[in-house]
Amino acid sequence: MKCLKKILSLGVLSILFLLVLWSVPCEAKNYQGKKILYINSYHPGYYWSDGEQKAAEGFLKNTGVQLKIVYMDTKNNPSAEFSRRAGLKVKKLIQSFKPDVVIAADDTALRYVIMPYYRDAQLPVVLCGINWDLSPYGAPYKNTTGIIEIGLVGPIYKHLRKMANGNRVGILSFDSFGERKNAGYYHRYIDGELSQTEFVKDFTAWKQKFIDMQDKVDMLIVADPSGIRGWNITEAEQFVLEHIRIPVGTETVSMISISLVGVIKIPEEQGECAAAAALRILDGEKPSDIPIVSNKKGNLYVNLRIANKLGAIFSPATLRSAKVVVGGGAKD
Amino acid sequence: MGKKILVIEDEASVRRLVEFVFSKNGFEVIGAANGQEGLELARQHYPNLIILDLRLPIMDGVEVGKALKNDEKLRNIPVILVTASTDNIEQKVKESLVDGYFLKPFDYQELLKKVMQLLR
Amino acid sequence: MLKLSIRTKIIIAFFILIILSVSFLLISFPSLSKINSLSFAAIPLSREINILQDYDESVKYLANKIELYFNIRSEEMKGEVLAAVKQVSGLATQHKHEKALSSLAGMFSVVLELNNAVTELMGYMDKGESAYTINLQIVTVNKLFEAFDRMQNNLQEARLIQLQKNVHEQTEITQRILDRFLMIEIWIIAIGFLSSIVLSRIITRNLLKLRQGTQEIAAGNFSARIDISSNDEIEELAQSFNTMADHLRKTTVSKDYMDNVIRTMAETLIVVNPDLTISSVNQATCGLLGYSEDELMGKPVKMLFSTEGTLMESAEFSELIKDAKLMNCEINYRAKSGRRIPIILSTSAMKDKDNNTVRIICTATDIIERKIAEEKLKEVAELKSKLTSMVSHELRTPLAAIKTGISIVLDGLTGGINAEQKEVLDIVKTNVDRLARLINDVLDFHKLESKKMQLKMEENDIVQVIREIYDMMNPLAEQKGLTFTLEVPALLPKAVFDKDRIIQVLSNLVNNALKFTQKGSITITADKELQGIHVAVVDTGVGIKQEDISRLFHSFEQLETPDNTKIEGTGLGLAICNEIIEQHGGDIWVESEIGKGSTFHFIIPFKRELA
Repeated sequence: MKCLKKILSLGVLSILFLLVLWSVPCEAKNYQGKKILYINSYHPGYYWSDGEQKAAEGFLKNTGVQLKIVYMDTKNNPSAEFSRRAGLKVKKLIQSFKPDVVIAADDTALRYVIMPYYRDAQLPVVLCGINWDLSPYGAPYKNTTGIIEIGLVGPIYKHLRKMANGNRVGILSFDSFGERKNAGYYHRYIDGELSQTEFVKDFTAWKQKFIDMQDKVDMLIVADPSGIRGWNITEAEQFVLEHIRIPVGTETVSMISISLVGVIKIPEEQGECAAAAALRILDGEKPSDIPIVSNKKGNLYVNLRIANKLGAIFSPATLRSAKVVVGGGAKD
Repeated sequence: MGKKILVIEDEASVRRLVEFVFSKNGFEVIGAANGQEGLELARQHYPNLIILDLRLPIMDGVEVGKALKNDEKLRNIPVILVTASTDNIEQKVKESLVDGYFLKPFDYQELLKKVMQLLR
Repeated sequence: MLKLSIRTKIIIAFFILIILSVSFLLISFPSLSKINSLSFAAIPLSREINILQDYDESVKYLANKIELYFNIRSEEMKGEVLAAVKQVSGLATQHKHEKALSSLAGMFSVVLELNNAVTELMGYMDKGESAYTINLQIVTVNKLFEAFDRMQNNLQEARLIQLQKNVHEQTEITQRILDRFLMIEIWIIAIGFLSSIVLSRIITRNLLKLRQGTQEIAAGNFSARIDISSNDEIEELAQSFNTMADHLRKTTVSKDYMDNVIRTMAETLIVVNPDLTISSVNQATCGLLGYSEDELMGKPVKMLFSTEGTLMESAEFSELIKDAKLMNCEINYRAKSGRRIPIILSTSAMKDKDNNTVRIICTATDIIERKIAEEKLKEVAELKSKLTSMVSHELRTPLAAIKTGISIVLDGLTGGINAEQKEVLDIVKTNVDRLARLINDVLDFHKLESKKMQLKMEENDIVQVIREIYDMMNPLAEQKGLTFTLEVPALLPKAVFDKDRIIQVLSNLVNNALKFTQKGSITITADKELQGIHVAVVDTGVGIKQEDISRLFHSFEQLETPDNTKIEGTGLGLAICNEIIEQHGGDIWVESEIGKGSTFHFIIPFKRELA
């Protein structure tokens, strides 16, 4: 009877041992032999694309995946011709490298590599860093999935609404194609009434509109001022402090010093999400089965000086999650 | 002296010799060859002495002796037993019935002496 | 090997199990106390954890309230915040001073700080301080909340880890104890199981052996032996059985043997019940009497006996049998055929432990042969008697005639005889005398042999007898030129003896002396001794060889003289003397040496003791 027990316990032990051996690799799933090509539309050193790339790299580290990065450098060479040539180069690389998945970060990669050569191809592609909408590119294709880059006006609105007396939202933006487009997308994500959108070309107009909207709306979103003639941030800060009466929010980092709150999107979210989707594809999922998402994370900034002018008292939760700015710009 | 002696002895030679001895010594001897004859002769002749042998035909010595004792007239006649046997029963007889006994072969002188003695 | 009873063995087995259990407990004791101490240690830990959790709860509650307040900004909310603050401060003050919670002191101070900050914040709100101040204060409060959180988490985690370790250790120890317990349990079960199997097997095996053995013995195989060596009661039992079997075997053997003996014995054996019915008979009885055993069982034993021709009455016989008093009794069997069989019957009583007669054992030897022999002997004796008397008569009678005739002639009654005639007739007369003596000797001896000689025992004077012999024999001695003397005291006590016979003895002895002595002397001595009168006849004759002395007193033994001269005589003389002296109850013997002479002794008791 004792022998039986011994044999039994030995058997159990060995089975357990085998199970352990078997389960260990499960933790570190091995994508050994898999290749991913990461197309960086811009150049190393560019804050946004770097952020995306670094995040993706980090995510794919220790997975056993062979990750290749290729730069298109189209920020420095914005011509279409260059972009096309760059795109071609990438295509050739794809042919030689034969990646299992391609991550196309930002517009150029999509426009000049994926769209022309790999639209609905066998090669699965993960898109990231595309602003607001894929449809201009005809995407999503059958072989694409990814993460859209949006401005986090939704959260801005929420924050502003807490401090505002109503839900009328105003937008003060630079008058450009891009900004107009941006502003166009804003209303999708703003819960409140987007009652007034102003586009200005110069600083004076800006200031004018700013004062104007203090009465017209309950909260104001100020967009990226790059392009506004005569823009002077210091002057703006002073001006705003003087005249601000309604909560102001922004998604532009540089505008935090004149806003009550700022919600700034982060490139890491793009990169990580893309990389995660890529792994899912490597796991066997079809790109078309992976839903396309948009970024949600953002860094919250609160400007206490503005808050003081407005008499706005943030909730502790808000302050906890925010980077508190005392007057000046974003001090990370 | 004319005394009569009766010899009752079946053995002829012995009887004859005894008769011879006694007759030579002046006795008248009568002989009988058997007990019965002897008894008859005793009754007849009234001898002075009887010499009796034990073993006798017809009537043996014991009976003769008894008969003699029973007979008034013959009772007092002295009897001398002369015999060859020494049996005990006969011893008894000897003691009670006879006045003397001699064992054969006897010394005839002794016998003579005894007879003389008994007849005195 | 120790002698262990079964009970002891079982007790020992249990004892071992108990020891194992106890040893387990002993081994586990330190572990158990460790667990105990750990449990004790865990209590404060738990308390701390609870407290930390309470704080956490309260502080989180406070944080919630503050959050709510800043979202809703009502007096009610404010009140709740303040209440929460109070709660927290209450806790803090409560615990701050507990020594046992000194390790949480850091946290307590943070909490208090937090409370103060919150209170200050609320104060700012009340006072309507600038948003800036308030916001900053909120930031401060936030920071404190964070700090508290961190601290509380750290502390809690640390405590939890400790508790976990504690619990883990306890679990480990418990596990170990359980393992140990399991192992020991297995051992105990195994040992118990094994030992019970073994023990029961041993016992059963031994019992089976016992059963088999006893069965065999019961079946009658008394040579069977039970071989058990377990050193306990069962072994004892087996040994008892073996001894019993041994006894049975011996008994059976002896019983068989005895059965055989009884069956074989020539004597008849009848076992009789106290009521004188036959219980059992042996083969010899059946054979002799012609009955079968069945025919005799239960029948009255009297039917087998007949007292005819014996000196016993039938009734007397029954009584004697009942009392088992018959011993060497001459009686008759009555066979089936009616034939009477003379037997010597002996009885003995078989008694039980209360000394009651349960059986009467009758053994008998049939003496037909003996009786026949006796008859024959009687016949022979009678025949011999007749022969003797006839012989004596027949021999003596002619002898008488011859003697008388010769005497008559010698004495001159038939006339004169010349010297030659006398000489011849003298020779004849001597021989006649000799013949007569011979016949007497033979007849005497015959009488002696058949014990028919009756001694005339009378008080006599031995001296007188000796003198008579002397007178008689002296002339013969003188004739031979021998000195014949008497060495006899003048007076000797009288003794009871047959005079004629003693004379016969003495004359015989003296005659022998004369016969065997050529020169020298013959002496008769006599004196009194304790047993009786001691007479001796001493001669200086040729003597007797030592080896011949034993033959002397036997009949017909005539010893040779050294020069082998013929000695006349029948050789019966000494035998007759022997008989006579023996019948007197005396002794007769001889001392002799070749060449020196012989001395014949005899002793006559004063009074004849009935032998």
